[in-house]
Amino acid sequence: MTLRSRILLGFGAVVLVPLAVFGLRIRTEMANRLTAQYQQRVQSLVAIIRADLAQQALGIAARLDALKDGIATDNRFRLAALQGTDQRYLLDYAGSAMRLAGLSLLQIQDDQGRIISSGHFRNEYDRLAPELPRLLTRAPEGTALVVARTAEAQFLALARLDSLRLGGRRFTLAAGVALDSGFLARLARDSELTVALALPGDTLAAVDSAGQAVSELIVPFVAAGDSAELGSARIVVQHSLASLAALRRGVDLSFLAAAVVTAAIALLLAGWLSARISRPLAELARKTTEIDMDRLDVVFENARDDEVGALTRLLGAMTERLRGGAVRLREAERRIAMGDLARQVNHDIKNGLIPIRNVLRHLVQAAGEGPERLAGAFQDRARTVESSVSYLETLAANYARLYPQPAREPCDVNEVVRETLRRIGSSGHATVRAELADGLPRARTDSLVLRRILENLVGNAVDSLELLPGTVTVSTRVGGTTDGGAAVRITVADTGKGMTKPELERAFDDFYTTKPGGTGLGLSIVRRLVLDANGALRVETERGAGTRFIVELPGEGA
Amino acid sequence: MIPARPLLSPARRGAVLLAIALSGCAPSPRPAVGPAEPAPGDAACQIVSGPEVRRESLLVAVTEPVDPVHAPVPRNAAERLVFAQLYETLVQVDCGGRVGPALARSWMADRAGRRWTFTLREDARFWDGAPVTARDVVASWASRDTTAVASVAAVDERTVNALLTRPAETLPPLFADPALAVRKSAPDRGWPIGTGAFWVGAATASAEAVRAAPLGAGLPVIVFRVVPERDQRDLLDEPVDVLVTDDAAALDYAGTREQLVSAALPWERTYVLIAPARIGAAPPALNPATIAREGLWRAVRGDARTAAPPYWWEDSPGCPRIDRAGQPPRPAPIRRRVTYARGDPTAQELADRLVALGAVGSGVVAAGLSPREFSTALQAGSEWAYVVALPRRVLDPCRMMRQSLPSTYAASLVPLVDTRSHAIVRRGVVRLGVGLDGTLRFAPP
Repeated sequence: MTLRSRILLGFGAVVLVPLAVFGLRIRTEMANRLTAQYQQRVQSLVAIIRADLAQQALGIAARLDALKDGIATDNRFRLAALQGTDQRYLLDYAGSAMRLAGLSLLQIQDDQGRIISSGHFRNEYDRLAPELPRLLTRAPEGTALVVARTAEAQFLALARLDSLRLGGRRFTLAAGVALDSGFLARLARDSELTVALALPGDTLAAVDSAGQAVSELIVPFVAAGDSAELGSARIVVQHSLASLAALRRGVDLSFLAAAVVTAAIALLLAGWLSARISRPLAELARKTTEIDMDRLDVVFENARDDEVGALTRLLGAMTERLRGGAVRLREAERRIAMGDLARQVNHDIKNGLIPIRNVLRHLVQAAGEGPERLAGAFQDRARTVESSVSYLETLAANYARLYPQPAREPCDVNEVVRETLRRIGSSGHATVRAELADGLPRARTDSLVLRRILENLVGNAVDSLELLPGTVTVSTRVGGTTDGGAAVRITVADTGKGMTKPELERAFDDFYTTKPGGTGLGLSIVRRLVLDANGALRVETERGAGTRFIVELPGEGA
Repeated sequence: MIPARPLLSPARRGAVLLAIALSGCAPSPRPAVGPAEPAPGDAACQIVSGPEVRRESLLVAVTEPVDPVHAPVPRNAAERLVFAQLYETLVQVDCGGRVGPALARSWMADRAGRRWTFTLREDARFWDGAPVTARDVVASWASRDTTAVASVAAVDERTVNALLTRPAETLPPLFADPALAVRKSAPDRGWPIGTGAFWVGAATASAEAVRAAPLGAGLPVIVFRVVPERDQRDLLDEPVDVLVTDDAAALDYAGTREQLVSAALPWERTYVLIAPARIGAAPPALNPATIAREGLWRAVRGDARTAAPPYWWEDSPGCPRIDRAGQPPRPAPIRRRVTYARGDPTAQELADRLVALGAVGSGVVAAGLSPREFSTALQAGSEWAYVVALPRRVLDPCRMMRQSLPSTYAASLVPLVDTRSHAIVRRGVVRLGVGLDGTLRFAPP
């Protein structure tokens, strides 16, 4: 995983995890508190409903008292109820009284339990219904929910019972107010609160209280029918959790939005920070990979005062030290090479002077033996002297070729190639040929240096044929670009025996040679000349197939 | 409660009903010629005596709408009262069931009793002054809604021949049915032009009031004011001269006012329970004996009694029977309801009482339907049972049966109660007579 990825992940974790913990905590706390508030409101409403029902019961009782007073003083009612006169007045009495008293239910029964007047259902007169007063009498506090009947439907009423005596007979009055959906809705003054009535057997009894704020009030209940019993109804108050759910959704959305925005900001910051950290490091890594013993001009510069700046400066100082070390190394190498060369020159000169000194000793000995012997001795040994001198001359010429002074003027590579091959001439066993490209740019190299390079490479190539027939090909063409300009590629290929891997590894070492009489400096010099010309040299060889030396020199304008 | 004043003695009522019942019997070989009895409109059919002072106009309150589109066949009591003053039939039937001349001054039948020949009155005129001819009678009957008359033809200017589908020994009262009233279309397509003693035009009638102007001398202008939602006691205070009502409060109030007199009209409506035969369900266990025992009339606030036979729907030769043997029973409805036409308090009270008694089955409730819904449901037989108001007496039983009773399914019909209205009249301002079907007629002084 890259440093940048780690920084991004780290930032995300550092920012999002606390935010998530905060959000979840807020959400949970909010839900708990609101649920507790809802439950409190539900409990309060239940208390209000209980008080309201008690108030309603008191109101019904007061209206029953007033009705009793009215009936007791109504002679027309008395005659109708006791003597059976004016039945129509009696039938309509409860309806009028019920409406005047603001009731929804009023039923007057005689002592036999026979309905003599009914306000909510006028034409149920003469029906025996003793259960209602019997059960209402048993109800706690004398009040109960009653399923009352009309011709068209049933309705629910909160009812109470009272009685009066007329002419020695007892008459009961059951009165009530409708407990319809409107009544329940009025109890639930808050739109989020619902009040429902659960009668015995209602499915509402299975309300799931786990997920809602629920409370209930038990109320005595009298069902309709001749076999009615006193049961219990429940007024169930529920608080809708819709607002809490909506609040939760809002919080979730807000949290999500905050998380997205925070994550985006964190990613941007992390990206910027990681770029600020990793980009200089990547640049340092790239520059570091460029460092080589032949390429120590890489510059490490950074004005930052942080760790990256310090690292850059350290690398710069290290490169600087490397450059100094390389100079010293080259100097050491040069001195070693000069020492080796001096020893070689000393050795070679000694090898050349020893025959001459021996000849001189021979001539001195001959001169000592007589002048006539001198001439003979000289005659005998003149070839030796000449051979030694020639050897020394050859030796001198070879050393003189070791390092020419470069002029560093652009040269025509093809012309230099042609001139070099002309100077080398042809060998009996080797075919030397040129394959020169047209439109070749001029090389930014001294022509004498280039000729020295070519003489060494072509000479080595011809020598590699070891007097066997073969071909040495010198070709030119436009090479790759270097520093923005075209390069000139010169290839010297032979069809000789090629080099082994150990030979290839030491091919550019000073004084390493596989040729009899070779100095072992040719390829070393070639390499140095190419590098001094800011060029590149590489070799491709295959045992038994030949060797190709490829020289790339910067072209003019590069 | 205002005591009902009997119009006829019980013996006479029985004779009248018998005469009506026998009106469709087999023909006699002897032709009938009329009028054979005294002209109707005598004192026996007057419910309010003549005026002590002559009035230029009378204000009559009606509590139901009056629509000229229905003329001359009424759809409610208000239209029956108004149309009766405007349109005439060839004959008229008085409260005793006697047939008397109206547009026709005489009539006679052939020996078979099927072809009846009417001679029109010489002075019979339409409101526009045009004489009433036999062709006018034929044209009026062209769209007749009766199956009793097979054909009609004009013999000459004043003679009309009517061929009955069934022979009759005496002139059937159906010729006094409003459906056979003589009229012609008005140029403005408004009120049809009639031949009655009063006339109405588009300019004198609106939805709120109908002004009937007299064509002869000595008659007042009658203004019928349509007041459907008013407290009827307020109408009596305004003052209205004539009010036909079944409102007990109004009757009680009228009894406290010396200048008002009230008279009970004939029993004019019979409320019946119609229960379609059901698949897999027993019909309501209700019979006339149960009705009488339970005192169902007590459930009705208006003037009511236990329904008393005879009933025109039980013995009407040539008319379909309500039980319709052979008709497939109707599927039982999902909800068992005793339905009634909303706006008819008597029907509602009876439905309520039947539900309270459990007389139409357990779990049955009462339900009021709009008149249109009720009529549709009755014809379809889609409800458990129906409380229907039928006229007590009719002139054309077959037409009334088609109009008021279901015709596509078998059903049981149980009479419940008879009801009647009362006429409250300002004392001394008008003389009122009543027809066989309870129709009030403003008689000349």
